[in-house]
Amino acid sequence: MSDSIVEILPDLWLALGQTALMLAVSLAAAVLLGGPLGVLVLLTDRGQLLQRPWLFALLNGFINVVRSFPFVILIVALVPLTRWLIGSSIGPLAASVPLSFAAIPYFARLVEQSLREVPRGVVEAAEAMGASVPQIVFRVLLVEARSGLVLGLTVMAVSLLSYTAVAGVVGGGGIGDLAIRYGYYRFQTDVMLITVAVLVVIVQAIQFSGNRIAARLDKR
Amino acid sequence: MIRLEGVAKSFAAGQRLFEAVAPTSLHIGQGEVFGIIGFSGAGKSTLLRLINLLERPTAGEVWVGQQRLDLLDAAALRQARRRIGMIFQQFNLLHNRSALDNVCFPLRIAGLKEAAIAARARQCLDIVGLADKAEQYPAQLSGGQKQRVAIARALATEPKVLLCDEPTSALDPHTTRELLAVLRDINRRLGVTIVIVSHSLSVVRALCDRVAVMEGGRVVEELPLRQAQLPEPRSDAARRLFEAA
Repeated sequence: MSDSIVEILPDLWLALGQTALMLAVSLAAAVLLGGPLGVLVLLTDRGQLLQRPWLFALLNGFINVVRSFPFVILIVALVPLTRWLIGSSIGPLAASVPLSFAAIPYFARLVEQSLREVPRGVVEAAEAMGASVPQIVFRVLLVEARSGLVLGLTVMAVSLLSYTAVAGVVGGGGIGDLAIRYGYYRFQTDVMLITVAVLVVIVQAIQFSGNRIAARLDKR
Repeated sequence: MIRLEGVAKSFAAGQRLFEAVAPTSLHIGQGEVFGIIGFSGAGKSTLLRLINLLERPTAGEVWVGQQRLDLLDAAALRQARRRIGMIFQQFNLLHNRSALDNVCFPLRIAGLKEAAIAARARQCLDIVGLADKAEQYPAQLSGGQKQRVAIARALATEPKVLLCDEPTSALDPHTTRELLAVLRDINRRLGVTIVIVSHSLSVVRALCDRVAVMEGGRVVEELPLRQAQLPEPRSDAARRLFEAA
């Protein structure tokens, strides 16, 4: 057993780096693009500050459609886009494209849900004080919902981590892929156990930090 | 100070039109404390919210000071609202911000300088007697203290008018008396015109110069309250409210 562990170590380090890269890219895309999308879908809903029924229907529909795709199919469907963006359709960076594509509507939905939890009255009080819509978004909604947003991000990070295993299909690499290739295809059970153990540790770490940060941010 | 000329508010309720406020005219003088009383569903909160256009009137004119608010565009309305403070039954404070930061909020959105903001906010907390609670979060404060923070927040931009939507309905009788004293003090010392909605005659009596009695979306009676003897009500709604007290 120890032999195969030593043998696998360089691969494990490489895989860790690949996983970290894929997670970082897709989380950044989720926050930068999915965040605003989530805010917009909330604001355009009926009874909200920027009520626009047709825009809401469009954004809401887009989120649902992308979220309907099984991830493997999304990877394949996005190959042309990935080639165009990255110049290649294999490797961890290429795998980050479909990952980001899945993460954006996922996070948008989580943001929308968190912001809906902010009591109507608090928004109304800000309106009565003469706050503009951007001021209400940045100084009221995001502030009041911040612990929920962090928890949402945590949940999504764990989901994305398991998605990265599927990204092995396009040579994305990463820890999940390592588990599948060595542990599953080559019947190296010990390697599979190690990689799964590493994944368990990462998930625990993500969830623990997420909970800690959310609790510190929550003054309610 | 405040003039409502034939304002009305109706909502579409399915196929029907529900008239929350029937065409109503009210004149409230500068420095006056004006009450709006009625049972639940009488339309008193809606009438109050028409004054700062949290509800847009479906008819009529809303004047505050020399300005007709219902004709303003969005930016001008935001400016005008900074001169009208408002407090609510549920306080509506930002839970993730300290008492001081809550009071700073209207000053920050008005774009004041940070140094001036902190000084003014502390001054306002002092007015409501909470200078020592500046760093506390709303969750650490009692109901009465939260409402005082809300009052300090409403006063921060030095409004001429303070709208109060059932401000004591979530508070016990003792805290209610304290809060009414704060409001009276603000009216006397700062000359702020106060409009207060309540279903409680004792609250209105303790504070107001005049009261409008509402029922079914209409002001059925206006009564002066300054004399020691309660005036004889003429309307049914007022009689029932007086009996309930």
